[in-house]
Amino acid sequence: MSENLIKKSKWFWAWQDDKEEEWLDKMAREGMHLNKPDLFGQYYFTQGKPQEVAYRLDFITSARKKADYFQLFKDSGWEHVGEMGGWQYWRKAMQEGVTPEIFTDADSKIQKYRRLLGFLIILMPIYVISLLNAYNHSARYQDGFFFQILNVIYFVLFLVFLMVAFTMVMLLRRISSLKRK
Amino acid sequence: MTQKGITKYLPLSEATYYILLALVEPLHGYGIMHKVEGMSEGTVNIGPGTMYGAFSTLEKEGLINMVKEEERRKTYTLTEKGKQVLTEQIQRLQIMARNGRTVLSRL
Repeated sequence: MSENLIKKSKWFWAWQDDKEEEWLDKMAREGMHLNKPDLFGQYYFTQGKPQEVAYRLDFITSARKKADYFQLFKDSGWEHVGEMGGWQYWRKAMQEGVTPEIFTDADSKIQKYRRLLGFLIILMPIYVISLLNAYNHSARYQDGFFFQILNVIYFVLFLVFLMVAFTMVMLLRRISSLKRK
Repeated sequence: MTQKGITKYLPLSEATYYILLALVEPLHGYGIMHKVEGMSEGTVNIGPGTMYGAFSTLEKEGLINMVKEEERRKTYTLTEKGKQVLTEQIQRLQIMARNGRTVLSRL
């Protein structure tokens, strides 16, 4: 028997991951428990009893995360709910009103956002090259259906590029505000 | 290790200080977290994300090194450099505490 999964789509900005954590905590208080995160902001929930749970997000890509990473979290009582594009979803029940945290100082939160920045910087050349390609093509084919399709692709790529660049700026701002603490 | 080479790591953050104190004997991550909570009388809590990050930073800085890996748990201990940095930090804290005590009686 498969459990009844409730699908919810939700977008979140990388520098506001704490807002996402709060939302998941709130869902759990209402009896909606995260079953697994899927690609691109798709969540699957199961309906159950309301529970006081802390959901916390870490960003670590598969190249870096090792068996010892999971073991350390498990030893400290955290359950790995799933992964979404490098975001690791962890949860732990609240005990005696104490909210458990995976990051307990500003330094380690900064490290998390730096890992994310490093990941986005690696993606940057891919966007720039695709953008340049799209631009070259659109200059060569001046009319017709093909030109229009390329223009659409060019536009979408440009939007993604802008979003990534914007995210990087906001992450840098988040890091500098954490440094002031 | 020159004096300047040591002081660039100082002052240690509260979490780093306690992690290094705990590593006077070889321990794995959860062992450190547990020990620090006890030593600090509950004032310092280290989450697993912070602990994992501290391992990679401190290992890169050469203050700790891994001595064994068993059942997916890595055990670390202080290096010579780590001992020197920690000694210097403790001496500074002793001066700070001494000064604090003199003032405390007048508050």
